[in-house]
Amino acid sequence: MNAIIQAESVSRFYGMILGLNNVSFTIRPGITGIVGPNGAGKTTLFRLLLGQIRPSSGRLTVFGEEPWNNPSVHARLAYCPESETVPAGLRPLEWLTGLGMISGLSASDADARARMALVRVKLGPEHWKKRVTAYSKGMKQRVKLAQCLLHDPRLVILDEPMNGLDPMGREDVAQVLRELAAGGVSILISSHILHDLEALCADFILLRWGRIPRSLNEAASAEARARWPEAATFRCDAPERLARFLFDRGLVRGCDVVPADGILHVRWSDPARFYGEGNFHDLLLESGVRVFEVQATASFLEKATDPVTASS
Amino acid sequence: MNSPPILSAPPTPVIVVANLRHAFGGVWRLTFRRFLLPGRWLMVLVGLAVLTLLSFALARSGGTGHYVKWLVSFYVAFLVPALAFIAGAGAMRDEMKSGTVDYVLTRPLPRPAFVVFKFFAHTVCAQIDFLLALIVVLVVGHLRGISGLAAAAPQLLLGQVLLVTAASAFGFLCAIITSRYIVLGLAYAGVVEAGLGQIPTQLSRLSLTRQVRDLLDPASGIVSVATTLGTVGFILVFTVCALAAAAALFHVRELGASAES
Repeated sequence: MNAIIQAESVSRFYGMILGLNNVSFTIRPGITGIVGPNGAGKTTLFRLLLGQIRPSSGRLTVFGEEPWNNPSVHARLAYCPESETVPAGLRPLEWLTGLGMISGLSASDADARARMALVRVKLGPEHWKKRVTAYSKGMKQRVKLAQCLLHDPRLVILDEPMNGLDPMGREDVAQVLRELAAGGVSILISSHILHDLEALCADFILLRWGRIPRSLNEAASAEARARWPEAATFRCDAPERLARFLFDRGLVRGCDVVPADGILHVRWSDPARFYGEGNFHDLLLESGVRVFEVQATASFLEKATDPVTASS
Repeated sequence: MNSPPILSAPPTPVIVVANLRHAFGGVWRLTFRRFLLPGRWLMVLVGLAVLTLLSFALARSGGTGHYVKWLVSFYVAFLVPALAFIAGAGAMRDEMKSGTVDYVLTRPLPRPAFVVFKFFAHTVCAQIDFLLALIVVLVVGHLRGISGLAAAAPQLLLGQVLLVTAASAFGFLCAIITSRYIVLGLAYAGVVEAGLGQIPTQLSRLSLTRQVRDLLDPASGIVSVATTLGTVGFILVFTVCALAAAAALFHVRELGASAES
């Protein structure tokens, strides 16, 4: 598949302050997650992709063209910023119609597409009389997403679109993004809600201190994600007994027991031996312990973005 | 519970290309909607009330000559350009905040075109505000028995329209250069308007307010068509130059360039 975004040794400095430092990556069609702590360089990357700032060095292309000040690239992308700043006094339909016209749509087309976009993000006509500034955080997020849908972009860049949304709202947004991806739209999304990203994204780019550390990105690679989790948490009626049982079979290299809560955290010596041979149900039955819940302790993204484990 | 209909599939894709005519419509809509905000009108009404009181007091205390002098020297030559400059610079500065940078300037609209469209939309709205102010000072003067205001109204309106246009363009330029646009405005006012404009040579023609004062000054008698056209031409050239410089600077300026990430 052709890359939609290609970065070759891209750096961006703000005077003495580092934004991005010599990063190279390729983003292919689909949903790609951008993950990193605050200050990692996510917003700098987005601003470079949007053509609002120029790289200090290196080359960045979007759809094969440099995005800086390039309306041809802008015609094919949409951006949903993290900032909650919305124009004062405007109602959602007025705002979206104006933006649609700026994108090149006629007034009637822009109005029709604004209505469709608002309904698509589940912001029905009953909310259209309120001014956007009076909306709740979750409703603002929906309008911000709707303005991305006006002109049929081929790439949508979303900076923390799940902020302020309840679980149902997050699922609604995820559903819209999946529909867009199914329609051939590429999506670049950053979020601190890592479980949502894991459920949504096919690829990831992990940023830290303006760089893309190879070890982190290997940890988040598709190959690594196919591996079994290295630790698990059991909620059961006899955690000590279960721990003894698993130790006796040489499955674990360490564990923590919280008897009061019936919790057992285990670190597998070889997770494939527990999960991979397809008999872990039998093993758990054989232990004679009543197991209520089994959960991978840390998601791969949490591990990859955890400052302690990631630096080790 | 009645939930709004949800589209099961994405809408039919349309091919969207940059269209400057539609884009101007969009910029105009977004600007004009904000112009109509009740909160903004409240401020305008307060400003008009203050102006009414001021004009009323001046018209009562002085005679016709005093009122006309105040109208030309203070209202037209100082108050109108100063407020138009601040309003223009503020409007452009607002467009450099994330609300516009993130939503408008990520769309297929060339930045110079955005500056020009925004200038036209803003200036039309500003002219409406200043027209109301001019009506107030003329009506108050007329009610207080100041003679000759009706005859001078077209000239006053022309001078005001020219100064609002030029000061707005200069405000746009200064706002794009720096967030401390007031400092630039004061420097310009001090050097050109208050400095060069007061020197009794041809150099004073560089001052916009001087040109407009000459157009309006009753002491200069009937102003020739050539002088009027010269003043109009000079101010329009100034406006076009300021706007072109603003558009060019905005084209090369990085937006949202801060270290936060």
